[in-house]
Formats: sequence, structure tokens, C-alpha cells
Amino acid sequence: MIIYNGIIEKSNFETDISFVGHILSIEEILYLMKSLSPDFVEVNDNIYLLSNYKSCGTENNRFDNSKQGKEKYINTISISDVFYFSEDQQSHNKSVQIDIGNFILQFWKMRLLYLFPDKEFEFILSENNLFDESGVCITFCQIIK
Amino acid sequence: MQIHSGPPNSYTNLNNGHVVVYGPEGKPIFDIDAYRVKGVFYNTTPSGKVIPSFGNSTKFNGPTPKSLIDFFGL
Repeated sequence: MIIYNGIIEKSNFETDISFVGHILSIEEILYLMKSLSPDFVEVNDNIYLLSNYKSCGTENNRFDNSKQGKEKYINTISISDVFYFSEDQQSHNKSVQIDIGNFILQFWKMRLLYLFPDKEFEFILSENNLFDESGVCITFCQIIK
Repeated sequence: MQIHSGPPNSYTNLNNGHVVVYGPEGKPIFDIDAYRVKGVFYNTTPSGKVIPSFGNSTKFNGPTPKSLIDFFGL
């Protein structure tokens, strides 16, 4: 017998799905799931988070306009900012934010590899700032072959 | 979960590199650090929960103006 562990340690599907069913509302479940599987967009062979690409309005930025630089900049999300105003003090713990950032990247990785099997991606977690975003940040870009 | 709030029409330096500006209702309306300025917008979910949002879509173009950095001591 070979056990293939889930992405998050100490998982027990029966217990975990019971928690989801009894504690979380349908709305909370859907928002969480949507954040793990965001919309992506392909522009000029570059892959971006759709919401971030729309926000930027252009592929160019003031830091790095190489192909990888454009993707890294536009795809950057500050995990710390997500929890910035949270009253849950546990969410301000850097190690918790790093774990959550890594979990999100794992789900994005699965989706991107499914959508673009011919492309290779680099997934990055920065513990201290990335471009003009502060705190724990995540991003991704294509690996140039 | 409650939304962070502060004195109306004021600001506070969080001493972690960020300054939060509070609006007339005491809700955060700007988050400023030495690199960028973000506005804080509020979305309401279908069930009526108010969610603060200051992702990339709320970021002002360009770096934080030097005048703000100096004023807030960032």
C-alpha cells in the first residue's frame, strides 16, 4: 500500500469535509474555492491572473519588462495584504501566511499545468516583499526554454 | 469576523511600514507604505457580508509620492 498525502498535512477527508459542511456557509465555501481556482488570461504568449491583468491595464511595469518580469509583476499577490485588516490575530502570523501562500500556489500550479501542458512555470513565494507589494507575496511566471 | 476600524477621519502608523487612513465612518480607506498607495474598497457578498478589498486593482499608479513618505515618516 502506498499513501499519497494531500497538499496540507494531517488531512482526514471525512473529518475535513464534515467541518466544511457544519461550520462554513455555502457562500464561504464558494469564495474559498474560487480563490484557489482563479481566472487566467493568455496575452502575447504570457499568462496572467485575469483580475490582476485587468487592474494593471498594460503588460508593462516600472520594475522589469522582460517576459518573465511582466508575468512576475502582474501575477504578484501579497498574502499579507489579504489578512491585513483581519481581526483574527492568528492570520497575522508570518508562518501561517507562508503556509497559505504555498497552498494557493499548489492549486494554481495544478490548474496552470492542466490548462497549458506545453508550458513550464516557476512558482515563487517571497517572505519579504516583491516589487511594490509588502510582506509575504506569491507570484508565478513561465520558465523560458 | 469584524472589520478593522479606527477613529473617523484620522490615520495611524502601524509601525510595520504601513499607515492606514480611516474615513468618516472609521473604516480604512487607504493603506500606504513606502512603495505604493492602495485604496480600500468594500464589496458586499450576496448574503450581505461587507468585505474590504485592497488588492492590485486598488493600487495607485506609480510609487508612493515622496511628500507622503516624508509626511507619514515611512
